[in-house]
Parts: sequence; C-alpha cells; structure tokens
Amino acid sequence: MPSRYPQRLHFDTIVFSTEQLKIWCANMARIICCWARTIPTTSVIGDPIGFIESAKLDSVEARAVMGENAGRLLKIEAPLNRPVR
Amino acid sequence: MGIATARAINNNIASLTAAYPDRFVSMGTVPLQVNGRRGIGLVVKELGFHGVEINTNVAARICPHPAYDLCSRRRSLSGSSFLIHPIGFTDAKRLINHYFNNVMGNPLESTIAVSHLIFGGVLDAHPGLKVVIAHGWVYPCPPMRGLWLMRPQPAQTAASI
Repeated sequence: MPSRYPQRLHFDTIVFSTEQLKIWCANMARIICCWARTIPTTSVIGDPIGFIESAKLDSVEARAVMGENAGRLLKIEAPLNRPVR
Repeated sequence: MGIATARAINNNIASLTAAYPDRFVSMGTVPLQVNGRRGIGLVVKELGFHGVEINTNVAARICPHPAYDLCSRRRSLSGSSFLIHPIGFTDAKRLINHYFNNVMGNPLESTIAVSHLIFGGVLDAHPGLKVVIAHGWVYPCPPMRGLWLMRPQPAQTAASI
C-alpha cells in the first residue's frame, strides 16, 4: 500500500514549530527524518539544536534527526556537538 | 553540453571536498538526459562521491529513470543515495506571484516524483534504494496517503504493490 512507502524514504523539509516536528516524527518511521541547515539561510531558527531539543523527542529520535540519519545516508560518522538527553 | 557541465560541477565539488574533508562529503550531479548510466558510474565510483542529486523530471520526462537500475544492481554503486530536488513546478504560470512556485510548486513537483517512484514499482524493484526527497512534505501527509485508496484507479494499483 502507498501508505507504507514513506517509511522507506527520507524527506527533506522545513518545520517551523516543535508541534510540526513532533507530528512529522510521529507519522514517519524514526529513521527518515534528517536535519540540515542551509547557510546562508533565510529560515530564522537561531538555535536549531535547541529547537529540536525543545520538541522533547525521545533520545533515539533526537539523535536521528540531529545527524545519525544523514550519517547513515552518506555512510559517514555523524558527530553530535552535544549530548542528547 | 550536459556531460561537460556535469563534469565541471563535479570537479569543483570534488575540489571543495578535498580542501575541507572534515567539513564536506560530496554528492554529484549527473546528466541523466544525455547518458545517465555512464554518468552515475563516473560520479559515484571514480570520484568517490557518496551519492547523486537528480531532478524530479528528466527533460520533462518524469522519473523513474533507468539510472536507478544501475545503482541497485552494480555492487560498487549499491548503497549510494539519490537526492531528488525539484527546480520548480513544470507548469508554473499560475505560481509566479507570492513565491508560490517555491511554497507550493516545489512540494507538488516532489510529490509527483515520489508518487511515480511508488506507483511505478521502483521501490519494490529496488529494495536497497536510498532516496531523499527535497521539498517533500506533501506526500507523507496522512490525507494524501489515505486518498489513494478512495479512488478506483490508484486503489487498484495500490493493491498490487
């Protein structure tokens, strides 16, 4: 069924509130969210890491969003700048 | 023209990555409209790139593209990632104001590409394929997924995949 395929894909998008981020993670498999920041950017999120932390995702989801998913995609180790709760 | 342009872009990307290996990993571009199979092999294998970025359509023809077959079947290329990024909706005349071409046109273009990958059987044929969809927020929306089952034609296809 088409509804199961989004769990096999990775979606690059922008969310503008922690509520949107939580909905996104709840509806997708954990591994599909990845996070990136375009520089220079017109998207105004001053502290992206703090933004993700404020969504209070569980630690597995948070680590995935902050870099582990991107690391798996690109076959690199994705260092996290600070520990995730 | 396509091969020369892709080569120039990829060489610059490779140079940037070589200069700052602790900051960048590379995804290359390929001239799918010219020689996608050979181009992808060049980018991923010979330049050591980690994947390729392609458009949502190829010369106005919609993905899927036979290049996917190559990346799935050749061991040296398996595990490579595709980043699919739109360059605007192909019928953007009604979207030129208010930045609608980006806000609505790009997600719509990405949704069309995703739908063709799914309904065209590409994901079934290539279970190891890794695809990233840029501007991709429309397709995963629950109403979009549910609507497929409400219409006879897509529901019939959906039942077979």
